[in-house]
Amino acid sequence: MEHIPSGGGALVAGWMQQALMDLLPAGEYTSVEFLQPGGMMSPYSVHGTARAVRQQRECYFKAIFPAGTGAGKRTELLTRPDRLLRLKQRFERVQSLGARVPAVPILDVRLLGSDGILFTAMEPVRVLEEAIKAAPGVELAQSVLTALSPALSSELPWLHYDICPNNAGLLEDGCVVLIDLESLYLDVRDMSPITVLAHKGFRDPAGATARIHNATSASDRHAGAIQKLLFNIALLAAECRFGPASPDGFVADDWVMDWLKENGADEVWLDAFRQLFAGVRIDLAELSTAIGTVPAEAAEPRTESKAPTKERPQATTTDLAATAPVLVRGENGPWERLRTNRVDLRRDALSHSEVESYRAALELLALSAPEDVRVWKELRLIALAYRHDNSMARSVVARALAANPNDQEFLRWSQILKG
Amino acid sequence: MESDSQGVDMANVFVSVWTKGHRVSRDSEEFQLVVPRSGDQLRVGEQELGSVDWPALIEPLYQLTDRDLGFERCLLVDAERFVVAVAGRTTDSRGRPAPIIVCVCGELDWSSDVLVDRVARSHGLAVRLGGEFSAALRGEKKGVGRQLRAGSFLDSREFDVSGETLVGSAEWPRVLAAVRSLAGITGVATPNLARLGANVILGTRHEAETAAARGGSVDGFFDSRRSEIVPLSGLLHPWPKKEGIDQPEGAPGAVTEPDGIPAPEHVEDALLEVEDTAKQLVTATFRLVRRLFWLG
Repeated sequence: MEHIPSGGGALVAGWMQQALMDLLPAGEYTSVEFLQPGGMMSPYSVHGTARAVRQQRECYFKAIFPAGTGAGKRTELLTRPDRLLRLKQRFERVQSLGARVPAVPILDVRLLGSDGILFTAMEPVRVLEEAIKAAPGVELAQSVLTALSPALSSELPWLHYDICPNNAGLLEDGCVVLIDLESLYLDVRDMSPITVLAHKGFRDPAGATARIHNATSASDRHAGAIQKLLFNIALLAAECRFGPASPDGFVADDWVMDWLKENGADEVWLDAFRQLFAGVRIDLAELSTAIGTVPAEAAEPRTESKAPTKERPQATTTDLAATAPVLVRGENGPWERLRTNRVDLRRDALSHSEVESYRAALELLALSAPEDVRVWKELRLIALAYRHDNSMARSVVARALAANPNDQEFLRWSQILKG
Repeated sequence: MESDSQGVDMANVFVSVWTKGHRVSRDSEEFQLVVPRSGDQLRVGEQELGSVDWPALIEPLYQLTDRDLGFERCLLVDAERFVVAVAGRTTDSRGRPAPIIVCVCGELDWSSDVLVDRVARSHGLAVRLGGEFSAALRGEKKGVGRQLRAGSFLDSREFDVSGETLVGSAEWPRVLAAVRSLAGITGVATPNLARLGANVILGTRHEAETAAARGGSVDGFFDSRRSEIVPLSGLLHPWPKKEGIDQPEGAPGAVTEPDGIPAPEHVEDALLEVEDTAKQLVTATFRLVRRLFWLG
């Protein structure tokens, strides 16, 4: 009964809301308000706010619906009942560990109905993205570094695969916590429990991504994951300090150093990121102290945009500018004119229709210059991260390989998507 | 935490909810128990609520404003248990106004230091849940009806009151001290909720006598000015002295009142006021007559 019906987004969302209201104990949760869908799980979930009667407090909730018979491969991968059961068990563990894991406090987790809708109620937070837009500063950056670094050095291994301003929040007491619980893993020394990775590769250093994908052992893979995690935390802290990032690339190596310099980041920040790109496990608590001692005038973001420098990180990177044939050089080419769309896409600042318009523009660009892998990568990113459509991604990869048969990255993606 | 023989935490209480117009049983149009869904699931102490004359109890509640309804309260007691009840207003599944009664039942230890705290927090829980459930049950919600029928409206009737707000914390210490001093008390309640089983009215003598005239079993009222229960029948009486044991004044069971029903001070004051008014009237009339003669 609780399987998601086929149909349009609004229809499905309405059906899911009604199904949840029928099953959620009305005496336990009152004043339920649904929020606009968003995030990777949005086609399969509803979220909102409610009053948790037993706990006497407002809460944020998320309900993920199980995949039904005939659901697509991706839906099944994300929401098959046994995965939801595993998520429930993991969330219960996070709940029992309390402050030892820097995750939003979980008030309640349960499976509703005979098929098991995964319902999770959490403490409400102010999403970090809002705080960054409102008042970026050193203190906010230090809050991120100090909240997330001690747990890293503790005996408790945890990994979060999708750290970004949308997936972190501030509790009432100002403590920073991670809020995208599906991407939070415990006991992951062998990485085997990690089933679904978020596709925000543009926030990851290419070296870490390569280390994870090319690892020959579990410990190699884990080391790559820790490198990615450290980088993601530091990048989040940098956004807290300098304001929303302008990601324009397919890996962090493409844009992070330029963005930091444009915003007047001092040598403490630049050196930290050079080390992170190189795979050095820096101490985030030390970074927190170091950024607090920088004279304010030296760290003020610049008001004038500085032209990107030619300096590149030292790490083993996939330098797209060097490897990919460039369609149009100069500031007025079609690829450059789409920069705002690229940045907004990565900031989750585009509506569904805007994403579609952008995709149509990219398709035209791909027709006129099929050898430009950047366009194909962008189309693949949209298919996977924003449309959640594996068949669309397979089509993009096939067309990209038809035009660029030797491209190693697309060959690898072809294998991944076949699975 | 203390636990009773059934393993229930002594700090925990059990909630029951009564309202009308939801198809929970074949008596859906009547005022009925909705949580738990069956009277069989009520605990000792709550079971007596099943024999309450609900139609007579709820009728006057319709006339009350929301504010007045919020003041209605009832505390039923026996040697080991208490039930706190409050009233509220919701609507039935067709949108018609319907009263809602939320009862909180717990274990009671008359010698405990936390007795008052426990009753006041249970009162707080009842008031809070009254508000929450009024909203939850309001309007036509098919899902809610199904949950009531399936018994899934609440995960559990058991609540921990330790985090609840104290309600009536100025009143309950005095009421409970007065209740402790007399035998024969089944409960104290505002007049409209006395039919739940309370024989002492939280109100004036007039309200107590009116409640009795309307067929209620009223044996006394709580005189809030003197913080004592004034018996109106012979059923309320001081606890007999335990022989051979010296009891300090004010201890539970100690006899501190003389035999018979003393005239409350405020009644004497009222009589004095009437006397004064009469004297003033006579004086004023006398002056008026003298003035008329002088004018004439």
